[in-house]
Amino acid sequence: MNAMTIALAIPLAGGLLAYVLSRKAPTLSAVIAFLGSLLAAVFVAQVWSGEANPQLLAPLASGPGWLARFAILDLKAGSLELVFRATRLGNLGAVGTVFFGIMIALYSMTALQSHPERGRFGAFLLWTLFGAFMVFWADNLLVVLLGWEIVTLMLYLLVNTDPEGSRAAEKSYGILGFTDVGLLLAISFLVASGKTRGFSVSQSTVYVGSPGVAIAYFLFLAAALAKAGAWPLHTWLPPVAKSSPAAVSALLPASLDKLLGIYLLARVSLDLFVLAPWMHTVLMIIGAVTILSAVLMAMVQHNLKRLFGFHAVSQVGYMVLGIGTGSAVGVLGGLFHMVNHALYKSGLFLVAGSVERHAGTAELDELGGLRRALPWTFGVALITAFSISGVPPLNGFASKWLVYQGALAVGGFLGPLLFTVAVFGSALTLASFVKVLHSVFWGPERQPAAGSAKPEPLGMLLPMLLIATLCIVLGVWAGPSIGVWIAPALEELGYGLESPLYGLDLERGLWNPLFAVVLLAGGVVLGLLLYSVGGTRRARTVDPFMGGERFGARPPFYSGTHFYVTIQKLPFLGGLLKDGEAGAFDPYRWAGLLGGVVVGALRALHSGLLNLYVSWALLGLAVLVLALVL
Amino acid sequence: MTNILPLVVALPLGAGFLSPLLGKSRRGESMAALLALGIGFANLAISVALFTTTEPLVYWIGFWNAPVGISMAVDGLTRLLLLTTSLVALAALVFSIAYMRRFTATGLYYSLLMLMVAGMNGVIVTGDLFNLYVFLEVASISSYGLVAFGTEHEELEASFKYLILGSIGSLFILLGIGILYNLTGQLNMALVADSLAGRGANRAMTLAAAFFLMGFGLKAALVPFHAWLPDAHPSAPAPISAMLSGVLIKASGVYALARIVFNVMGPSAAHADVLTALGALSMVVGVFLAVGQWDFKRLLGYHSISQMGYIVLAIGVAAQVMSPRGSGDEALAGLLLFGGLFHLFNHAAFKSLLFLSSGSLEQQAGTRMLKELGGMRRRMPVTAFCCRIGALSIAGVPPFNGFFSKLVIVVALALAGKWLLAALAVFVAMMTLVSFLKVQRTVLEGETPERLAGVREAPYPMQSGMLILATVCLLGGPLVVWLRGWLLDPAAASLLTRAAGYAALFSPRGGP
Repeated sequence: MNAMTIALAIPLAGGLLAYVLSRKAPTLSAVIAFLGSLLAAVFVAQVWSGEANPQLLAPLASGPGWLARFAILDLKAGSLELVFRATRLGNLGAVGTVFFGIMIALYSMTALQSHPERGRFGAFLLWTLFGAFMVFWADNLLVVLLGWEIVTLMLYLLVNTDPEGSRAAEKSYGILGFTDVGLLLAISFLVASGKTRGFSVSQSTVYVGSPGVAIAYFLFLAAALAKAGAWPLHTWLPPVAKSSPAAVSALLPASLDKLLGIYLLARVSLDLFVLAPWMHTVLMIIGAVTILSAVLMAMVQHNLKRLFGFHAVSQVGYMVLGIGTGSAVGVLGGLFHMVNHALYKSGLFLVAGSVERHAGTAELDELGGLRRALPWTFGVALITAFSISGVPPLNGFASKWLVYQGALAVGGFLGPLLFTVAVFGSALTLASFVKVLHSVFWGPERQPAAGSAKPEPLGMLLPMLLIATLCIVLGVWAGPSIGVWIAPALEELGYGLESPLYGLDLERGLWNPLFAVVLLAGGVVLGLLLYSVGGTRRARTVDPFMGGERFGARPPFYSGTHFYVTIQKLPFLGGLLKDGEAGAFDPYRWAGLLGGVVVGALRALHSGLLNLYVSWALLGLAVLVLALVL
Repeated sequence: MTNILPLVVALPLGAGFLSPLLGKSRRGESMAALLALGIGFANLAISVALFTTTEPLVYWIGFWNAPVGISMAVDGLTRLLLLTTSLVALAALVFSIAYMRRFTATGLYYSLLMLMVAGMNGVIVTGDLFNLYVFLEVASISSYGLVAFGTEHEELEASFKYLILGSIGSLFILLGIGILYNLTGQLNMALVADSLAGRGANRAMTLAAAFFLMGFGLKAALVPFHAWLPDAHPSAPAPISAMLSGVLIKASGVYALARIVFNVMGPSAAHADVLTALGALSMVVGVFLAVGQWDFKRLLGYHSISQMGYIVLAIGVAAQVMSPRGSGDEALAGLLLFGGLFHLFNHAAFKSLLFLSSGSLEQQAGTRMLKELGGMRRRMPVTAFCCRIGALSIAGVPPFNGFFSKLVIVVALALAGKWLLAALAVFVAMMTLVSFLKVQRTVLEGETPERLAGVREAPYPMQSGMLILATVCLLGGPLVVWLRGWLLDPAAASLLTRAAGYAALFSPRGGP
């Protein structure tokens, strides 16, 4: 046994225990989930620190300490064997996984306190960690597939913990399952045609030469993009975000699915395959379309969690765009944005959970004025909202900055266009979050409909505060954070740190966060001084009135949901958005309609008449005889 | 060891004739159930005991030697099929104890069920072509009776269609056997194989092959001979549906077909192409028909057609590799056969499990229409757990057994260079998943309809019957390496020996 096998075994065994206990002792199951992720973190940290040690890195391929090998199934051209290998990119994912596992387990102990299925939630959370570790560490393509599908299954089961989630769960599994089997096909093709060395990830390099290999790459890409939630395979994500408990959204669609999807994207695009230039262009365009289309959809949403779901799609665009550039700074930005997004988006979903618990609803039309009732949640919401909107000096800005650099470096006609889309998308994100902050926290307080109407308990607050703090730390100390967490993985992917990195040298380069913080603070202080010295205090305060009529004592509340109705009224774009809401661009819906036609035709043939069936059999026999004779 | 072999047929056959004599009283019927259950356990014990040796076994009935005598021959494939049948039969019998309480004349039910088991076991162990036909008819005729057991309008109509189409299939099988007998003067399969091996292809053999492919294809419900199945399988009582879909179509369809194509006639390129085409067609057409279904048991029936397609496809491509025109790569053919036979075993487990859970739902909730169910996960946790395991297994989700057999089949198809078929197999896996997502959403998840608020969990015998099979589905995946070693690779090896190897193993040399 080594640290890695123990780290894999803990969530597997813990999940089993939690599942067995889930009916009789659900609280115990939730505690097991928390303790199990904590314990796993110890061993993940060991793997990380051992891997960071160059002496241990060298014998990875054959050394006894870090490799577990157990053949399960010999498949002639290679075998399905449990081979695990610590890579820096994989370790980054594993550390992220275990961190979010702990945070969500802690949060859900309180948030799901009265939820009837909190025991099962704990078990599924641990199994999710298990599946994710398999993906991050496996050196066998089939084991990656196994872990990948286990995570898909767990998402399905987690979303189903809520009776309202059953349709969203079905849709998510429909889309993710489709790309999962595509992954199996791609792996089979690569192995059978001898493009890889067996099922090994580390010992294979695939050159994109023939159309078959290109198709295999796109099947890998589809799996990665569907998991991460990028256009056009993103349509499962907003419904899942809307109809599952906030803890589930924070765990999977917000953080782990991003880590997994972007990990696979980077592993496949930068390591396993050697891409043709046009494939980079395809990736970047997918990224740009994702950024813009999803953020526009987000702006017109009325449900807080569904709105966050669209942002979870939009932000993936930056990661895909960054990795698609293939340049060091772009890839660095993409990977850093993956980490940052996982942080602020899970933070936002936890905020949504806190709001929903207090007010009993996540509909923006029914929320408002919660800044007094939930001051801490409000603080976290501010930080994470500014972070996702790319407001300096928070972490979202740091990684977006790098992605902008990467997009500009593409050059030609495409580079500036991608840059424009990325910056514009960020501006729209900010606009969208102005609406969110207004609708949920500003304005006069509204009477909660059905919620607890209590302030957030410590168990929920702690993970939120921790995540918000990390959003600040990774923004203000972006340089050192990149040095510790991202740069090693980048180096491993073959991007030497000597290469000219625009802005990578964050302390002296184009963006110096610490210096910027000082300037920003100085600006704020100056503003406060002007405010107190100048005559702005002499403003006149009157009761609100409209058209000369006074409203009564209680000022009216204007919900923010109609902030951007203008967009819906634009001639071309408005129509697109309306169609988008109705599912016109949803491949899942179209596949269903198409399948329905085939099914209808086949069913019409099965009329139940015996003489028809007998004639089929005899006709079949005639064809058989012909086929055998000819 | 050889001497216990006839018991797999004799015990259920005896029980089949004894059960009606026990009388129609409550006590007599309980005795019949108990007797059947005992036979179920005994059969499982015998099939497990057969694994104590890996040697081929031959038993000559009445100690008459060939060509007069009739032999029973056991090799790896026989062992696999016997174990599968006994396992599913036992689960169905345990389930029946509680499930059949709502029917009358259950003595006759157990009698017919035992006859069906005797017929299936006979088909599996016999080494004689005409004997195979006789046992096939024993199994088929008892299954016609069992499909009609409810004696409602729907059941009788289904049974009638099944009877007509089944008889057409049997007729052509008999004609095929007649042609082979005419050619070789033998009925013992090893002797027929030996005799056919010497001569080249001729028109009579081709016609016989066409008759076998059609006849056994009909028993296996391959498209376009499938039309009886979606009526017959859902109409039978649930444990019988489990037996029909779980093992009968395999024993009297795929097993007999594979035995005759591989071990009697020898795989030719034409046979292989036809098998591959039938498999691929069944796989695709079956799943499309299943996706549109809202009747739980009918949906399961269509999926049986589709899953049989996987098995026949794998076997067909294996035959292609082994045929004179193929590459002759034994390792690849072995992998394909391993995949196909593993899927056969897995399908027996998860499809029977699904039929049993559909029966449990129908009994407790009073309906099997998907749209009328909902939220059963909270009302019937054990049934729902088993149903979920079955659904995830058939959908090919890891870590359940169906994932591994589909994985092997897809990888092996790719290795054989059949990209299109591999893509088709993957596509059908996806459609199966979608279909069972619908089942899970409508039956297990969502809100419980008000009408079903009082639904309770099924009685213990039904739960145990389902749990036996759920265990197989759960462990079948992780234990694949172990199953492959003692169960599946020997079974594949007996098909890999072709006709010559089979003849060498089982031809009577000198006599007992």
